[in-house]
Amino acid sequence: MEYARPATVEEACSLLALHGEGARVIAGGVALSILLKQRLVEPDILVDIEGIHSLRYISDDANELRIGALCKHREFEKNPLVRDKFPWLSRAAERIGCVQVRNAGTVGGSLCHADPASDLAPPLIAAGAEATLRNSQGERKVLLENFFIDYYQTSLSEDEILTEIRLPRLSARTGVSYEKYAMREGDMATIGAAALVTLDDDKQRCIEAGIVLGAVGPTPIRVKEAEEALRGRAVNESSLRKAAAAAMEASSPLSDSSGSEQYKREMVGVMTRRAVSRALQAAS
Amino acid sequence: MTELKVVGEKLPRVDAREKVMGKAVYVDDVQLPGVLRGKILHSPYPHAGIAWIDTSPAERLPGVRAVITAKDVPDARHGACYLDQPMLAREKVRYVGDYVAAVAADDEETALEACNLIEVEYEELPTLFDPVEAMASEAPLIHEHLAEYGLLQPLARCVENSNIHNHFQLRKGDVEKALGEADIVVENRFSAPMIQNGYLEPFGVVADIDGQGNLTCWVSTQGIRWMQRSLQDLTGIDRNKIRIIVPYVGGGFGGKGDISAAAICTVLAMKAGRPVKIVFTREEIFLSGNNRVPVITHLKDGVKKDGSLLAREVKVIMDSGAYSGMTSMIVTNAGFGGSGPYDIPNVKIDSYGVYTNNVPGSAFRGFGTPEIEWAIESQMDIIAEKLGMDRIAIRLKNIYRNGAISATGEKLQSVGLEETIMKATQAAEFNQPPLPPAGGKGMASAHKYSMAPGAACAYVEVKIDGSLELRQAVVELGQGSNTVLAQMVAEEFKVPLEKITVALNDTATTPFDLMTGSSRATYNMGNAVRLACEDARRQVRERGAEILEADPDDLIVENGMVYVKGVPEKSIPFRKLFVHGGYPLLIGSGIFNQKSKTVDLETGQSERPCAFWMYSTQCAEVEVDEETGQVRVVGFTAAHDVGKAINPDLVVGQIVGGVVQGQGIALMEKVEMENGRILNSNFLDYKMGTVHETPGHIIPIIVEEAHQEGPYGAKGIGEGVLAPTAAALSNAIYDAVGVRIHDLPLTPEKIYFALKKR
Amino acid sequence: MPVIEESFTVKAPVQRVWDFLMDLQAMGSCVPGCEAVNTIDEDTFEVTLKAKLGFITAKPTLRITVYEKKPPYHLKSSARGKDSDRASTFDLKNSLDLKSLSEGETEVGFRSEINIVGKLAKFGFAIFKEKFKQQNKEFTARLKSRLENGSTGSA
Ligand SMILES: Cc1cc2nc3c(=O)[nH]c(=O)nc-3n(C[C@H](O)[C@H](O)[C@H](O)COP(=O)(O)OP(=O)(O)OC[C@H]3O[C@@H](n4cnc5c(N)ncnc54)[C@H](O)[C@@H]3O)c2cc1C
Repeated sequence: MEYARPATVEEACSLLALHGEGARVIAGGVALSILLKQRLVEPDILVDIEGIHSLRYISDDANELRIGALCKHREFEKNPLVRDKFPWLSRAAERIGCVQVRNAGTVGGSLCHADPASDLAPPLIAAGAEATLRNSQGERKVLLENFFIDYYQTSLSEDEILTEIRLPRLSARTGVSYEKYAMREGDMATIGAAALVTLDDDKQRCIEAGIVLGAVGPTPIRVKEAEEALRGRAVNESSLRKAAAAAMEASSPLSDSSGSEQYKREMVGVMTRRAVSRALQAAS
Repeated sequence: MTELKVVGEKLPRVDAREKVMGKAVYVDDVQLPGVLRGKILHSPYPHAGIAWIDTSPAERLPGVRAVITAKDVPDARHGACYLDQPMLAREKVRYVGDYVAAVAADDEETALEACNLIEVEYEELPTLFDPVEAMASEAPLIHEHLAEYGLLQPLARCVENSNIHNHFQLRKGDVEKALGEADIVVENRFSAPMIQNGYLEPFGVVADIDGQGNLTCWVSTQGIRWMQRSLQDLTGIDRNKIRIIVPYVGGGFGGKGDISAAAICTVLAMKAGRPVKIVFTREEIFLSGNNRVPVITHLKDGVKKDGSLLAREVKVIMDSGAYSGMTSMIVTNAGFGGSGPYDIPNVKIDSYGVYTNNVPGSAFRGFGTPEIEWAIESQMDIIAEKLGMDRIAIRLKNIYRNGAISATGEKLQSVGLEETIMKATQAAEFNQPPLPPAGGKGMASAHKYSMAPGAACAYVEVKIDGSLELRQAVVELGQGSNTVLAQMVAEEFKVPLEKITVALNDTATTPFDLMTGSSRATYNMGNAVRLACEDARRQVRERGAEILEADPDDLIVENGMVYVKGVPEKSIPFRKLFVHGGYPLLIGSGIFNQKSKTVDLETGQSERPCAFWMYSTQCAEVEVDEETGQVRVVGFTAAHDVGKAINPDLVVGQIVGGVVQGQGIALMEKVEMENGRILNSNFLDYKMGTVHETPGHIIPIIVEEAHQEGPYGAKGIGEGVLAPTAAALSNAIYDAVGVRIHDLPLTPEKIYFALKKR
Repeated sequence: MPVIEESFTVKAPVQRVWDFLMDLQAMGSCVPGCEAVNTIDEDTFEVTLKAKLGFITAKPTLRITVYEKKPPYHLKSSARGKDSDRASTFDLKNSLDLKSLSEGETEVGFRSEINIVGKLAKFGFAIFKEKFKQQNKEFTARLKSRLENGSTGSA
């Protein structure tokens, strides 16, 4: 196996174009090194992008937050700007693995690995994040919502890398929250539920809603029916119940050592309720 | 007794520095020139005949130095009780993971690749995964020749032509009659699943054979002599040519030491003519069959209205999987105390060890006791509630006290149980209401035996510089035995701890010890060490007497000096004993063998079935999330009667470590098996408690009810800690939300669905 | 290990369904990822499959042996083989049952017990099972479309 450490995005992209299927990007290596060790993945060449320093930033434009793909989880968990303006994102990052994982793992790696249990995808999708993908020819943007295709599969093509995540500035009276259910602190999510709630001027009705589930299907699942149950209505016991029921319905969890399908579906309901209630609190 | 100076002190561990510095040597650190890596090919089938094996594709792979199958090794078997396990499967495989063939190659990758190239033709056989089904008389046999197997433990009795490799029975009084006379009869079934020992250091072995055919084997094991003996049986090498070296061991909990793998490593080294190293992957540790054996416990109790236990009927089924390992012994030994730490006039116990095609189970911290105590202490709370009785009161009404006659007919001594109950419940403020809205408190008491008979031997050598070297074979696997035993030597010679060195475990230099297990080290080896010190002191006095021209009996040995009693001015340092005494060899030896009394096989009666008993009480406080069933452990109070804490810090270490481990076992640990195949053989899917799940606070309490025959009154601690933990937690959950779970682990899922049904 | 059970009805008479399923090339064309089918003898054949699951690509060659056959209703087979890198072993036990519901309608039921040992088994079992289910759905859909869109049968 060969190893390359390009210093620029262009260099990285041309290596990917050259080696095609045989090349594999490595960022923090938290997820990939396990697969390499188990020989589940056996690339011809590892393209280590950690040397591309230009991809490691957090910046705040008037309209959006921009996060470079090589940003470490720990960095934006601790970043004052994120903590101040996107506290929910910082809190979601706090729940990722342990400090060691957060110090090594990158935002881009977490998304490109496309484990449906990623803690970042659900809140980012709920908040309307967009991903920038680059190859030698140029760049394209996809809504993060459309980025995930299947278990561990994204819409990235072989020659592309993810360079940036952009998060639109949220409108006033908007709250976002992410609830994680795991057997143990530090485990991958058994269930993740993110909610976004925007209230009207009087803070009576919900005018915009986003509900996204993690870990209970091949990709993060955006639950339109749950959003509809909230949108245009007062958030109360009845709409909460409807949203939770819709989320349970939309989920397709698998039975495994952290719980049966049936239990996990019930917990989808609980976590959805909690996420919406917290988002509502933050919005008011 | 004279005043103690070193024993009883909270001294830092003697191995602390080298471990913190990363200098401590473990098996994987042993580097020999030209060493090959060995890999084992495992069976993919739970039960299948082996039609043929073709190793030639593996042999042709460059870098492969040796390939072996059962054909290349003597037709012999090993076991702790029944000799039922071959090092490599012969004729048939009995579980998914059974060892089928092995390879030694230049590196691990090549060895692994070679294993994949070995072709094996299997013919599937009927399988058994449920121990209750396996016990049925018509069940297919997993070991057709069970009755003909060699037997190392006279107490085990198999049921011929069945899968039951041991049936232990205990009879005291008349249970039938007493159940009829009871005011209430309470019957319940509880279970504890297979769990993994979960030590950090993977099992490893390095085998090297010298030009004279002597084998040196570096191996991480808790049973050095057992390993040596088994290697002789399995490989045909004479025992006197087998040298076992056990460096530091990174945790064991009863499951360290894979005999088959050590024998395989040896045969590979013989065949390849080069040293071979095998280090297990985590997956292989799960497969190696040293997991905790799953246990089903049925209880039927007859109780009087006043809470006194009239009768207890216990039926225990242990699913040992494909081989009996230590399970046969566990069946008997756990049977001795199978009715709990209570004075019950009528007791009937039947415990069974059963073969299935599951991955084998074996010993785990507690040797059957925590699994049974889990049932008994849950049951005690159920009874208390039925009678409307206080949970402390029902225990105080029935517990063993000094002089009580146990279920096996032993007159009990050194019973500190009541004190553990009083101290634990007091410190835990057990009678104060728990946290609202869904907080709860629970308690559990337990006892745990330490096995007998079993010899422990020690040498203590007096050195010219006034230091002392202890040579003994208790394995330091993190528990702190080297420190405790060194403290005893320091105490006996009245020198600072720094003057003591503890030699590496090595059959060439360290004398016999039965094994590191059953919480027996401090008591048994401690006694041997004291005897060795006494012997060494006698030699010192005799030498000193010649030089000082005094009567040896008038001499005092202290602080590296010998002097005449009352005349400390007239003293000589140890150095003089050598310089003026013709350089004598001052080595004291001590042999301690705790005798037991014969056990009647029909009734399980024995006046001394074991060395000593440890007693404990733990209180847990929890909070339950009623929406999810998740449990947060607010706090734990653990009071343990250890006889005498030789080093209180180390006792606290055992208590705190045990509570943390026990909590994980109670709340989440389970080896998931489907048709004999383990689904979670890694630490991502196999959940153990981590630092995040440790209780909010742990209050360790040491109770010292001295044992007359223990060194300085000491008993033991290691295994006792796990015994009450699971039930204390379960009882707390019940107290919090009224949900009683009968099958470990107490997962949020089980609690959640039980809450829905409430 | 995953056990997959599936049953569905096709609008075709039982004999035609049986004949189709016994036609290796036709049947192979319905198996997602089937790259090659070779007949060894009447009851033995070899298939090479390619399956992608996220970052994993498996390309096992399986030898299928039919060991019980009651045309046109019942068939049992076993399949064994290794992945192309030989580090994983696949072992399947399959049974197929056809039931004639009416002249033009047949119920197809099959059951597979899938056993994977070695490298690939390190990958989450639950996800494997899910993937197999997906593949089966696709197989069923293709089978139905081939059988139902062909001629409406000879009955
Ligand atoms: C013990 C442990 C616990 C964990 N717990 C959690 C948790 O609780 N929550 C959670 O969300 N995650 C968790 N993870 C997963 C981990 O945090 C993420 O997968 C990690 O952040 C990946 O980042 P990385 O930079 O290390 O990616 P890598 O391992 O370097 O790469 C992962 C994958 O993404 C691809 N890749 C990486 N960067 C790019 C890029 N810029 N463009 C294109 N492709 C790219 C790689 O090719 C590879 O396929 C855990 C992991 C471990 C090992």
